[in-house]
Amino acid sequence: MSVKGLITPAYMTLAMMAEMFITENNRSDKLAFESILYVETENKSDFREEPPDFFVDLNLDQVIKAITDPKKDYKLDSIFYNSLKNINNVTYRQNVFRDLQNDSILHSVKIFTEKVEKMYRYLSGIDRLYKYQKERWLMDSAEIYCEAVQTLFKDLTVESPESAGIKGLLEYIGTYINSESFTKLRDETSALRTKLDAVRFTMIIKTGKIVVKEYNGEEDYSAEIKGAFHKFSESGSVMKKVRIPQFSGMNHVEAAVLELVAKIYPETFQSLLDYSQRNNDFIDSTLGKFQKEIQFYLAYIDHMAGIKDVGLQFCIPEISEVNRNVFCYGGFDIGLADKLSKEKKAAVTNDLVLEDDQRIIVVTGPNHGGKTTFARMFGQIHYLGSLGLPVPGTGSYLYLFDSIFTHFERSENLDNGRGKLEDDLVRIKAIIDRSTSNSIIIINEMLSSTTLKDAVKIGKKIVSDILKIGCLCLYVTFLDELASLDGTVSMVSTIVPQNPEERTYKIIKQPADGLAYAMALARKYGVTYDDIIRRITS
Amino acid sequence: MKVFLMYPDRNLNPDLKMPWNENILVDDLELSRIFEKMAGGDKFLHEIVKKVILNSETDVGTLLHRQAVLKDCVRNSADVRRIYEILVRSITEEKKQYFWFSQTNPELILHESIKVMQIFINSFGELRKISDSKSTEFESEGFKSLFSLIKNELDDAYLSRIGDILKTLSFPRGVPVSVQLGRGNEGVNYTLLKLMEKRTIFSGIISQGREKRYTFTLGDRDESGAQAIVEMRNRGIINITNVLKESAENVLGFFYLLRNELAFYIGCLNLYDYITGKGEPVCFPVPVGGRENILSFNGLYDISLSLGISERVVGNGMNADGKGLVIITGTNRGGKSTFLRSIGQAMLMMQCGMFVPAASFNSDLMRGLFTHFKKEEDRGMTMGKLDEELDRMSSMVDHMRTGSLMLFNESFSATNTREGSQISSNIVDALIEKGIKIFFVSHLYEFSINYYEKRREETLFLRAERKSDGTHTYRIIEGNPLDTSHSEDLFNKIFGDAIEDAVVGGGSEKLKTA
Repeated sequence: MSVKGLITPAYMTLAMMAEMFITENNRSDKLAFESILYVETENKSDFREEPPDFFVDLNLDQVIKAITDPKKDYKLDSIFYNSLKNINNVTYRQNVFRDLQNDSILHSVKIFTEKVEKMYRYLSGIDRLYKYQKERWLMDSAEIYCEAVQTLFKDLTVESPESAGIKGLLEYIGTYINSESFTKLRDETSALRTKLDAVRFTMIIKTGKIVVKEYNGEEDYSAEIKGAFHKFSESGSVMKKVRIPQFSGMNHVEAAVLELVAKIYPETFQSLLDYSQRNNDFIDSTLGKFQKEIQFYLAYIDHMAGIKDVGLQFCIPEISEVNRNVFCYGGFDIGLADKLSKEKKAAVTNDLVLEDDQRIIVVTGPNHGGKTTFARMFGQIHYLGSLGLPVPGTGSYLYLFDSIFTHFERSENLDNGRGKLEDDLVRIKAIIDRSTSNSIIIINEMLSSTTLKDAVKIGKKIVSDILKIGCLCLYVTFLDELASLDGTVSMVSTIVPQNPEERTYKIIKQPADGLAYAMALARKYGVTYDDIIRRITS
Repeated sequence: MKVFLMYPDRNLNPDLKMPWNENILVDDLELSRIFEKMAGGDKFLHEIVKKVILNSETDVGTLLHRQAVLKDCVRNSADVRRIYEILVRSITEEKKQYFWFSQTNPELILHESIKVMQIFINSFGELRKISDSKSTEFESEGFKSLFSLIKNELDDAYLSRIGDILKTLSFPRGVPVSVQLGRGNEGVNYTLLKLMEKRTIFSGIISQGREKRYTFTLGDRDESGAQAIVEMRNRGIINITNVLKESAENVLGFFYLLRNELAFYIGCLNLYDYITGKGEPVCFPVPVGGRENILSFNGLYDISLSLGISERVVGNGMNADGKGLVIITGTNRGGKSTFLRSIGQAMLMMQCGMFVPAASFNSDLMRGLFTHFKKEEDRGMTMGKLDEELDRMSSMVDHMRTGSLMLFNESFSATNTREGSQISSNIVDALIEKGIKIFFVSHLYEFSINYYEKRREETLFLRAERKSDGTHTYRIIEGNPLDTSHSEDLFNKIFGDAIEDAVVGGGSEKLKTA
């Protein structure tokens, strides 16, 4: 596509721009490097443009939005909607993150992307410009592009990346820089720049006319005037200078003058037009794609930075396709951590460990003790890990799941005509039917709208069904009985013993003991049995 | 461009602070009349002369520098006044272009700056004329370097060159700039060019044939285009606009500076003309450095008093070399206060580089002047009178240093003579110990006789002269303290009886019948 035939409406995103100025035949076919996000194919037919169902329950919708908003124009959301099924892609991305932990590499990459963004800004709206102005903007953009590519090559060569992704990119650029098309672009651009820099013309600006002519070497008058008045100047004078506002952009008078200048330097300006004709699609498609894809990494790194500032840590997890003995030390809910970090507070961290054949974690304890947060954390960490991202925590071993299913409390849905219990059951049945042994199920409170006896019976049935499937599950419940079933591991949200009201948000592995908690609370308010007998005087 | 009339090496700071006892000094020494005569109604002059006189200099070199300049002014009074008038007039005319500094439109600022510069160039021309014809009549370093500055920096060639440049800056043929191409081919590096002045017919034709020139003409109703052209012109002239504006501001600053340096001398001339016109003696004092007590003079008089009456006033002579304490006794209204004032006035005038009201005057330099004069009973006061005096004394002590000059006029007499003498002696002893020179007018007999007996060598005793018939000559002459303070004279005058008659016999009854 050429510059001339383009309509570039205001809503053009940078991502779309990348497509337009790229030509497919600029690609160097020899190299393996194509994408910084994928090294092998995923199953493309499954590529989602919509977020998965469980996003809202796990607050991942808010989390992803917070990550991608600063780079809205790149439309990164859909990348975050697609967890990886191919473990090699997971490792590929993880290694790129490792390279980007090196500040110099990160810095070089950021500089490159900023220059490319600037180049796109120059190119946007180029068609609305005047003659000779638009061609010059094209050349200016190409100049930035050539410099950016060469600098990135130079910097990365020095910094010695280790990931297959960045190494691949570096090799690609190395070959590209030496290619005929790039060297031609670079040399032509440089030569044209030299010619244009040499242009110097004279204007005699009257009030209604401007005379434009060749510059004949006349002297700088202001230097002479300054010299003449020098004795009236004071060194170190801090007098306020008169300033004129700086405008960018050309008005129609300047454009008209420019056309007259072109008549004075016809050869130079014709070169400019010719250059523009030849080079209006100068951006290499692979590099253009890299510009877009690398934002996935940069956006997440920026997002982590705020949370790291309050002292929390991220780690690159080990991911297994086979072993379900997952663990996570120092983990936290990333959405909550992000919110708290803006108040300069650090979210409470928790550990989670499954050993031997443990598959189901049952979480009980006082309300608002952090159980839901804990459940979310479990889901988030697995999901983020499956995208190849660093996850909350100091060390982590995760499982590469095929699907995540969530069953969170919903308020009574009046539309579908079902009561709450029926709704709960219908939903959990659907989940159980669809789960495989490679799935993850997260249940956050069910069965609260029936008698305790029935709830326990149903709950036990559900747990046993899930055990039969053999997948990982985290079940938050008020039914302490479920926590002592075989195949489950019990974790409890804790309180401060002296002050039962105070939450620690720590979830620890221990048997459920809901009654003990209830007793302490009753004692604090003087409403135990003995207290009441004593206090009511008959 | 530097002008040093007030100091050999720096400029007068027009924002000098007054000493802490400004009001006391002005009241006690009756300085207002002096300031007013020097100012001649000009508020600015009044402020300057007051600041300069009350901020005594302690460097002999500075004083001699100023005396030399002042002598030149006296000798060339008309020319100096003319120079001053040129400065004041330039400053006034600049003020009339009253908005030139607050514009934001560069072309307007340039236009106004040029007008202001033109005013100043004309004034420089006038200063040059005076300098050329009269500079040989001036001998002081201050004026010699001023004229040399004017002659060298502002010669005809330079003034005419500036004038020519200013003419071109109205750009009658358009603003010529050279421009290069920047990002997006936008014009950058606007450089103002010097166009050839004259083009002969031939050069015009030949060059036009060879060079390419094209003209862009603005459409009739193209308002945004007209605005665009204005902006382009501004880009071309912005640098020189700042140069002109800064230059004009600096030249204005130079005029203010010169005016500030000269103002004091104009004030001196005003006083000098009046006082010599009246026939009173005037001389340039000899300031003496070092720590010895030097003070001697002839014909010294109270100049403020002289300014207030049409007759001439009595002058006094004294030699107090080697003396740290001068005690003046004698009849009331015998001229003692006047004498004390004349000392204070003369010291202030000497130590700002002026002439003094005397036929001759030699003195060392004081480091701070303090006066403690008897006050009228203040009816509003919460303190007793002695309290007030001691409180006033105390606040002075904070500011005194070795070398200060202290003038006491009837101090601590608001109590009985024994107590008053005691207090005074203690204070005086301490001040002497600290190297402070003291003049003490007192009719506390115990006090004066004490010093007569104990410190005769270091003390000079003066007395208000009184003829044998009891009248005053208003002269202060050398003489030791006498037993009575001649209150007898006053009593006689008011009561009409000899004091002995009034005392003998009964008392008040007798007085009534007399």
